[in-house]
Amino acid sequence: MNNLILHISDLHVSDQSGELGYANRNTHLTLDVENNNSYIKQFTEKIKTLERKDLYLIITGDITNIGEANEFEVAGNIIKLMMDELVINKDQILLIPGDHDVHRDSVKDGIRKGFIQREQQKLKFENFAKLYNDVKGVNFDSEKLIFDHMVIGDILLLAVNSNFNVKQNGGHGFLPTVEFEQELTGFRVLYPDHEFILCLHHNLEGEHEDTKFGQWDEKNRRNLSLILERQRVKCIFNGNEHTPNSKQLSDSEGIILSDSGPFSSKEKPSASFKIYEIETSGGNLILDNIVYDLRTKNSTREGNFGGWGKCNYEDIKKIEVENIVLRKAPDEQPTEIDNLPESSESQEIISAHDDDAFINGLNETSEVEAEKKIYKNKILQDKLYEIVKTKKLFHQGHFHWSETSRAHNWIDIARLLENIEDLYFVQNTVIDVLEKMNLIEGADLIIGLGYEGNMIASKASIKYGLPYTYLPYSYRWLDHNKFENELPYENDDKKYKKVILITDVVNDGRTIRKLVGKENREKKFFDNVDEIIVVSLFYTGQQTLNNNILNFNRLPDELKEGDEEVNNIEFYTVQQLKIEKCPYGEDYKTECFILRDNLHCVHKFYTEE
Amino acid sequence: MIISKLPSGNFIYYNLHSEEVITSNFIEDISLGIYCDRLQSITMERVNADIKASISQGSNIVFDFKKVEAIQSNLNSYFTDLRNEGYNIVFINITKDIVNSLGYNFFNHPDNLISDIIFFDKITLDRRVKEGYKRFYFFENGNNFYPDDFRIEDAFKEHFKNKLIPFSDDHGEQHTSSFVYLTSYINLKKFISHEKEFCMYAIYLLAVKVLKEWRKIGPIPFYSDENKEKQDTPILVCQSLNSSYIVSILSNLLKLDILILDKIGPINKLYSSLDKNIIEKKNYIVVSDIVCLGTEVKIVKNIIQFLGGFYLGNVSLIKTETLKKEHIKKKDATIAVFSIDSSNNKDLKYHIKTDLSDE
Repeated sequence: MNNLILHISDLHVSDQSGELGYANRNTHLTLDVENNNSYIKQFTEKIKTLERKDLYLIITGDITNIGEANEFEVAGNIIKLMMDELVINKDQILLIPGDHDVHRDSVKDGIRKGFIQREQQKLKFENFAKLYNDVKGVNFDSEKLIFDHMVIGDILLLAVNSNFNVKQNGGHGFLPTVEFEQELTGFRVLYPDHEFILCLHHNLEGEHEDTKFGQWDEKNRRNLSLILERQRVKCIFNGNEHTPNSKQLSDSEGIILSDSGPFSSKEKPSASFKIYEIETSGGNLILDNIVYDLRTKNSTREGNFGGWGKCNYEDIKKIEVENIVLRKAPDEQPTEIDNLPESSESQEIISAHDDDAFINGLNETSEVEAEKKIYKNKILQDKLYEIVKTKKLFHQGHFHWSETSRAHNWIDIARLLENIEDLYFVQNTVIDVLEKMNLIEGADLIIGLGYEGNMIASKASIKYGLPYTYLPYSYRWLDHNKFENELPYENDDKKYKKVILITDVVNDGRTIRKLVGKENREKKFFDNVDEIIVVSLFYTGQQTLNNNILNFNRLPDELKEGDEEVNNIEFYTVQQLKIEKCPYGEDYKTECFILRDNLHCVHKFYTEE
Repeated sequence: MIISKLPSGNFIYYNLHSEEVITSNFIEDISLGIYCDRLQSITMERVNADIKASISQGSNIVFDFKKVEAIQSNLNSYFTDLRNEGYNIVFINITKDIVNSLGYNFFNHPDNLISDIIFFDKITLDRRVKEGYKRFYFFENGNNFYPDDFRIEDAFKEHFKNKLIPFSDDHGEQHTSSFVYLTSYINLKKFISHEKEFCMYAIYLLAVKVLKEWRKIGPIPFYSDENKEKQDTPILVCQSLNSSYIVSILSNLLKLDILILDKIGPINKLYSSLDKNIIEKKNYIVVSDIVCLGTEVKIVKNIIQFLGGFYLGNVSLIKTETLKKEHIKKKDATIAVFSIDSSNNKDLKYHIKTDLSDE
């Protein structure tokens, strides 16, 4: 079980009488205690169903609607009820004021009385400060920009007051940058290795077309983004926009903004909150970003308000990130694999850790060494497999790549790469393999294989200052002219000793061995190469995964005939998906009745000579 | 890896936005494509290292700030460092805001040229004008080495031609898809492989051209005709091994989806039986490596249109201008960063012949 952070915002507890100011009709939370208790208990009952270790509560502002004392009094009871029901103590909550928690009449009074800026800052938070003391048992310091903090493992959550410029007529988010950086630096000194999350009210970027630059002072925002980068802030929890969403802060190096949406909204956007489940397995520090919203179902109505339901990620993926990566796993991955993605009827996932098949008498020590060199990154592997599942890229049928290479399954990589985000993901995944397995060091050349390999490798080709080129797949040799088939480098002087081949799918490796070992292909070049590194997105072969399996000596004897004797290949792949090979031999054209009698489409990926 | 370095007469030119694009998108993971507009110190570190390693002190350096709207703090240390090392520096297309934040506003060289600097909003692509300088010398007087009428496009074209000459191989055979003879084969694969950095800059410029072309006549920023609220981005179509490389980088730079159309053709049956990969009413941009007579482009255009898609146009690294400029219909013209035309085809030994020619 993991720790959970519960993020709510924009409660807008509102006095419906309208006597002291604007009454917000679009909120379930009013001065009606019975109604409020019912709403809160329905919410807390939902939270109680979640499996968890400890629970932490973040409220990112607009707790009240007009910052009046009567609203704060009720709001205090609401928050204490939540804490009691969910067994949250005062050290496990961060209470952040929003612009609606600023008491604007007090600001006006202060102006009338000629108060100086510092006095006005204090005055405008007087009602909020009372609630703060009531809940937290300590005084609210309106002079500090970072006024509270909370440590959860390696995460430091900082409570930030972004209402510096909110005055009698409202105002946008603003933080005086010099003071803010001083305070932030102070925390960085105290917590040098923690991952920082800021909790504040205003949104730095807008989701809506008319407020796409967020409700923040624009100049101040530019300066702030630099400070956030310098201090390695990873994430900001905010509210204000009444729209649950999460996204990367523009121009930042991966800072994620996450808005939990309005907690008590009656209308659209509907009420929502977020749960961040803290994943720490494998050296990662990741927040799973889970959104709940309040739904009204006529037939199965729950209470007076509807029912809280967890949003399906597929439905919200355009506006939400699935998880917030605070810390990537270190190079060495944990040795245990709990479970690779579930298998489906049409395919078999082979665990990289199956230990049942030591082949051809290699000694145990070398096998263990080879085992150590298997690429593992569960998050990326799961995501890649998820794309295959979601896009339905794993096909059944009759697929022929050459006279000798035929199978009953095929992964449509061209479709996988069509979407810019998926293309970017696989390009980065290949880079992750290259870096985690330390393959770039000493490498002299990178080659992308085939259209798909060329696309997958293009980012790596630019990231690393290595020569790069590309070649067609062996089975597409006849579709290209001689210039396209040629490797545009000479290697007589053994300049290229370590060469990395990047491709989409590897089965038994025959096409790779043919490319590097056949006289009329690139044998001349590769004879002078010491190490051939092959990196693929998928391995569809039958063998237990290790980095030797593409070498000729490792092949079962029955597969060696007609193959090229190449034994200097190191192989790394992201995901293993076993495909079913064609059961017929050389006589397939006459024995396979589907092909012979033209019973079903046979997909050919090559031109017959 | 520095992509934009361009020796030109008495100075060396660097395009800082293109270098920032490399940093942001390929070295780091700020995936903003060519829409990034903030120059980072890591970019200047790369540029400075290149200058110090390859350009002698006392040389003239041009830093083009076009499309750079903001800078990371303390960036002035890099320029000051170069100045202290004896390099003569001019900034071009730089805003006053950036000059001020560099702290260089007291350099009042008499040949500094004030000019409006134009930006396009990265979300709406609306035009914005800022105060700035067409030319701002980072020294007080003398050595006015950046001419008023200098056109970097002309220098680039000459540079491109010189880079390409070694990759124009004798050929003398029939064109692969048209009934003409080519005297040379432009070996684009070898060119991209051996001139990776330069080709990356060419692809960057191609991305800029794509944006400029369809910003002018729509549909960039890619809104649907029927519903301006709805985004309707075009798809980049790859149709050869060379173009698969170009497309994947263009896709990163322009944030556009792609389509590998190669599979239509010899294995058309496969795709039509599994899934239809041309989406009706979607816009498609065909990406080529080199367009000679445009036969392959027309084939791809026909396939797209036959399957219900809209052919938006063709972009290519290189095109051959076989017609006189006044005879080219704009709507059918390929957008390219380099043209083989009557001004340079002899240098490239590139001729198109038929059996009806005199020779």
